[in-house]
Amino acid sequence: MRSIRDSLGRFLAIAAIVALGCGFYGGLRMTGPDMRIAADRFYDGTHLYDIRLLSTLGYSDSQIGEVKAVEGVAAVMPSKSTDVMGQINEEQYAMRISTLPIKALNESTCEDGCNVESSDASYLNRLILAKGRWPQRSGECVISADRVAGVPFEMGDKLTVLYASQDLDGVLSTREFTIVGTVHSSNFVSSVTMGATSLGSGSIQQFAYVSEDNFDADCPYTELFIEVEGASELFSGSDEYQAHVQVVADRFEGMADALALSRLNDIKAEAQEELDDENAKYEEEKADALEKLDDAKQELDDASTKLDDAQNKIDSGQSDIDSGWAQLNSGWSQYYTQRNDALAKLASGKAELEANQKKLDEAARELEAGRAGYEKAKENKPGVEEQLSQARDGLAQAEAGLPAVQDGIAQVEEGIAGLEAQIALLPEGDPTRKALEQELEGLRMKLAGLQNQESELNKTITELTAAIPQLEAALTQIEEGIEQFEAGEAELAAGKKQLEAGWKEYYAQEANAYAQLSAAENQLYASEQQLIDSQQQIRDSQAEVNDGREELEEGKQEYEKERKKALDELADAAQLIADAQKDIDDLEAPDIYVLDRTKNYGVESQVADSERIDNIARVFPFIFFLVAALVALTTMTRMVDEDRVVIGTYKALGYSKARITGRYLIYAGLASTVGAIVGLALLAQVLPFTISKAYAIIYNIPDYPLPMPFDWKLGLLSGGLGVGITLLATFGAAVATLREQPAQLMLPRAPKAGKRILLERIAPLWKRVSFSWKVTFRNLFRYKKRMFMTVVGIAGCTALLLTGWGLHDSIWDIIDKQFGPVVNYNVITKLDEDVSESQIVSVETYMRDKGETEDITRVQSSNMQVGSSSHNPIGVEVVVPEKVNEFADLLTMKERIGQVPIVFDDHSVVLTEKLAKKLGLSVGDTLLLYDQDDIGNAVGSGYELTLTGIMENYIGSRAYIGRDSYQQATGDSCSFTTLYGRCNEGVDERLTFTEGLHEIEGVRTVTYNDETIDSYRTMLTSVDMIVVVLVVSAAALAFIVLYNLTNINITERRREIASLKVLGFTKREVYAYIFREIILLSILGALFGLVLGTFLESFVCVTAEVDYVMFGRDIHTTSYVISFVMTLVFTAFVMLSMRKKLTTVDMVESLKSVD
Amino acid sequence: MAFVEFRDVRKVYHMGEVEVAAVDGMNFAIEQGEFVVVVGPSGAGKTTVLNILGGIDTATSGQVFLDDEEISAYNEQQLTQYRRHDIGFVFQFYNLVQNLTALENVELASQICSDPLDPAEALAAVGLAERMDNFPGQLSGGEQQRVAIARALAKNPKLLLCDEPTGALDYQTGKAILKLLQNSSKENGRTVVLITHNSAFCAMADRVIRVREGRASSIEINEAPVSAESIEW
Repeated sequence: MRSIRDSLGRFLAIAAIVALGCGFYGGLRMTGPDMRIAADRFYDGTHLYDIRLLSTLGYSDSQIGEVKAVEGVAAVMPSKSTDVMGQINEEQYAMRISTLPIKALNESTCEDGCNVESSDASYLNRLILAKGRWPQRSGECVISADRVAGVPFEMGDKLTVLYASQDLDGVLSTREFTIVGTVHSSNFVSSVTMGATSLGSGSIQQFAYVSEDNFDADCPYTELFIEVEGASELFSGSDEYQAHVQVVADRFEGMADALALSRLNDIKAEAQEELDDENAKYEEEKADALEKLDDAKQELDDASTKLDDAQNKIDSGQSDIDSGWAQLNSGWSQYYTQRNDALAKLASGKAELEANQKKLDEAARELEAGRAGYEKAKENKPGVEEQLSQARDGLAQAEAGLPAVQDGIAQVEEGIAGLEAQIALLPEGDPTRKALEQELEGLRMKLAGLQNQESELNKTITELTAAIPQLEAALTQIEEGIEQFEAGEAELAAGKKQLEAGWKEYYAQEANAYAQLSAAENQLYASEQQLIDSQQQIRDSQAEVNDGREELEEGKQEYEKERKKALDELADAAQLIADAQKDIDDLEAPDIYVLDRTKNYGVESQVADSERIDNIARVFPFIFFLVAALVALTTMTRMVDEDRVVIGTYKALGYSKARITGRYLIYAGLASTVGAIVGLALLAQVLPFTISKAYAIIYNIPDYPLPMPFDWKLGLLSGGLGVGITLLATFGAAVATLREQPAQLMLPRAPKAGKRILLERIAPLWKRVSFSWKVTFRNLFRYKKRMFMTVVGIAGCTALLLTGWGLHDSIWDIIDKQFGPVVNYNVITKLDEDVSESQIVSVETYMRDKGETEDITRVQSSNMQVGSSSHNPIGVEVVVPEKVNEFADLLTMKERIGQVPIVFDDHSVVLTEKLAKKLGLSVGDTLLLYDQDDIGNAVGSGYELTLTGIMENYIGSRAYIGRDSYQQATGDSCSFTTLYGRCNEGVDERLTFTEGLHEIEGVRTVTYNDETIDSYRTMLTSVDMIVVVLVVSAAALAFIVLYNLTNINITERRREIASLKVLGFTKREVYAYIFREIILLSILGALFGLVLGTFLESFVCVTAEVDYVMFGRDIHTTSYVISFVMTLVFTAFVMLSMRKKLTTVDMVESLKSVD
Repeated sequence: MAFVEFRDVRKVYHMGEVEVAAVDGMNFAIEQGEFVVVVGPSGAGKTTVLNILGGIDTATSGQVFLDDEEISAYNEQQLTQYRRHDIGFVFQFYNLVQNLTALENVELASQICSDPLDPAEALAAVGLAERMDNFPGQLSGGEQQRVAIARALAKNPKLLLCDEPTGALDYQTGKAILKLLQNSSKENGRTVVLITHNSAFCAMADRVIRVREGRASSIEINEAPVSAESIEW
């Protein structure tokens, strides 16, 4: 005890390093099991199924009964479920909708967040309500509370079912659900991927639980969840558990065929019943149809008979008419004879009359010729009479007037003579002479006039006396002509009268004859008309009959058509029934899958992840143990050295070696045991807790209530290792000293001789080195054990740091190296498979316009499986690009090592690196491509393809196959309905962009790489926790090692330090003198650590990797720098804290004696 | 004032509840250039006196002067500088740095002070010109002590303090060392203070300070010190 108190630092150093080693080893080793224990507790608490029975044709009640009756079955919960694409707040998920007993759900209680109590023993996969409430009616659902990424939602938001790979009619009757709560489900413990599906990207991203009435009543139970008796008492995943469950699973396997057969018979019977009903209906309808046809036929025959009758009548009518025509014709000929006779008679009569007429007309014409003279005479008579009278009157007058005119002439002649006298009296030019001359002129003119008149009158008397006898003769002639003409006129009038009477008689005869003829004619016309009318009638009838015939013909044709149609239909129906019957007869028994928990994605990957930690735990802590051994060795060597005099004394006194060694063994044992206990007590709690907590981001398994379960076996193993190593080291140290003779031991140990070191041989260099550095260098090589311990310890520390930071790099490199260097597209738009070319083009146009990009390419993306001769098929995404040159712009294919580009053409087959590695394939090998069914099993024997390249890739497993290779291998044609695009859009506009895309018909899903990146970021944050653990433990390691080293250094070199102090070295000079060595060792160790860390990191990376990602394989330069600098910072920190110890070295005490 | 002066110096150690005065009212003075021997039985407090004088220990009370400076009033830093520049120490167990050669050990000291002697000359002066490049482990005890003396002298200190320098050496070697010390005082006028329990050494001192129970029981001036070679013990 005293020795412990005296050397507390030493004791603590051993205890601490052992604590770290044991704690780290034990803690890490227990982490995996602890995670599995927590999982087991969760599974038991929520009654997670032990066996899931899946049937491709579902189950009916009778099979459920059979399953319940199987020995070892504790409870059976039937469930209906279907995988659909659902949408919550604009985000689409491939999701599984399943039923749960709603009553049991609502009545269940969960107090501790892990154990769900329910009175319904058959309520399995019990849910823990996280938020909201349970669904109570149709149309309500609860969904996962644990999904890592995705659009946030709230209670009351809608879940819309978009489509499924099968027809949802007859399966899911509700298509829109209200989210009323969120739950934790042990059936889906991985919140990243919840299992495989044929939809979307191939994995289930979300689940929803609903009541049974949301499913179609006819939809059978698709799966049976089974709890195996006594399985919950066993540890889930353990061999015992597996064996126990396997017994029951084997029973199911054994009865699977019978079960399938029974299900088949049920379905057959049900279908047969339905078909029989259909058949009866068919027969009934057939009879009906035939009867109707017969009726129609009868009708047609009747019509035909009637038409024939009518025709007969028409024919007889026609013959009547024909004879009528003959009669009429003879009538007509008779008539014409009569008519001709009559007309001849009339004509002769008429001719006589006309001759008379002619004579008469002649006479009339003669008369008429005289008429003009007559008329003229008549007309001239009064004129002549007038002329005669006038001439008589004129003669009288003229004879009367002549005396007067002769008087007048005499008078005027007197007047002229008087005037001429007067004028002759008067001078020429006298005015009165002038007027008288004028007057004389007038009278001369008047005399001329009167003389004229007198000659005139004499002439007239002569003329008239000659004309009067002529006029009297003309008058007598005229009166004779008139008399003659008037007598001819009277004669003509009498002739006219006679002729008129003749005409009158003739006209009477003529009229009579015509009347007779006309009557006869009329009669004949009437007969003719009658005949024409009859003929018309006959014609009409014939037309009617003809129409009737036509109609009948049409009727017949239609009848034939209808008959044919009806018969065809009947035949079709018969065929359908026959087909249906065949289908029923051919119906194959369903496949029944007996799936235990190892087939549950979440359960299995949780186990795999925890086992990954186991793997790391097996290798990782070796550094700590190695350092622990070295620390113990140096520390105990020092202790033994310090005690050499005492040992010598004891030895001299006769104590046995064992006794003396025992002292140190006890000391070391005590220290290491204390360390082991403390370390285990702390780290076996802290590590499992921290790491489980980190994994809680991925797995929604409730925390195990503290304290974490402690595995005594592992605890003892780890403690034993720690203590054992320490004891071994101690033993080694003690034995070396005990070999010496007591006498030698009593003497102070000769100080280890100084030695020249290699460096000194290089004189020019050595000369430049100051003394303190010389001492430092010499010291380094003087205490090799210590140097080794320090270098290893510091190297371990740096290696841990580098592993931590490198792991951090590797993890974040996944994203940085995947998106950009490999994947250049950022939007994936999936379209319906039967989308039309024009729809694709409109989507492309939209992406081009709104996404401002030309980089769009079409691919075929399908979920298939790839296997090799040495490995079972693995589900992968198979991508077949339409145009390789376009595709090359959006996906960079290159080999990781050397970054050699891979040529990809229509014949290429390229796998992602991790996939190829897992399948054990290298370029030139043959791989097998399988189709995949809905449950995720490979179908068929696979298509053979030759691998042409292995590309660098970090996220996901994909096979890129050239279209020619694909089509040749599978024989299928490709449908390039997935669009990769590199769009230039900000996060804010994404929603509008997506909405716009969804408005185009045929668009199924729009995915952004950013979302993928986000979800990976979240997921990978969990692994960052390990980085923290590593950094903290590295720091602890560095402290322990450096503290121990410094401690030993100082105690061992007290005299040297004291000497330096006495020589007048300042504090700082002393620190530098001592610490320089440590700094150098730290740097050396750190450098080694960087090398060691590089290997360690790559080991941890490969071990810690999950299936669908490949960690980055490079450690960044900054990580090397950070690890290096951090190591030195730790060193500096230790030195700072050790300064006090240096200061307290007492010159006086140290120099007194040799210790 | 004398070169070195102790005035009522006390040094009290606390051993549990008991107070032990290692030095209890020490008074003496030393003149420059003197070879002083402090002699007394074991536990008389002579090493404590030397430690206080050398600045590696401090007095509980009283005053210590060196060359008109009050050492006892120095703080730790000043003491360090004091040791560095003014004091040379020679110990019974040499206290050489094992990892440095003889020359390097001397250089170690000379490099830190302001007015050092040439290390090689210092070593030559102690008769180790040939062994300069040897490590302490390769040298005999006397040779090691000579290196130690060379180291102390190379600093060119005002005061050379020697604590039983011959304690671990045989008679002949011891004599040689004493001679070396005496010479360094006589030839270079250096003040040397030597502590010993051996009264035989008094004969070679200029001044003998006898210490008993923490006090200077007598201080004698030796008018005719003998050479180190001639003393016997």
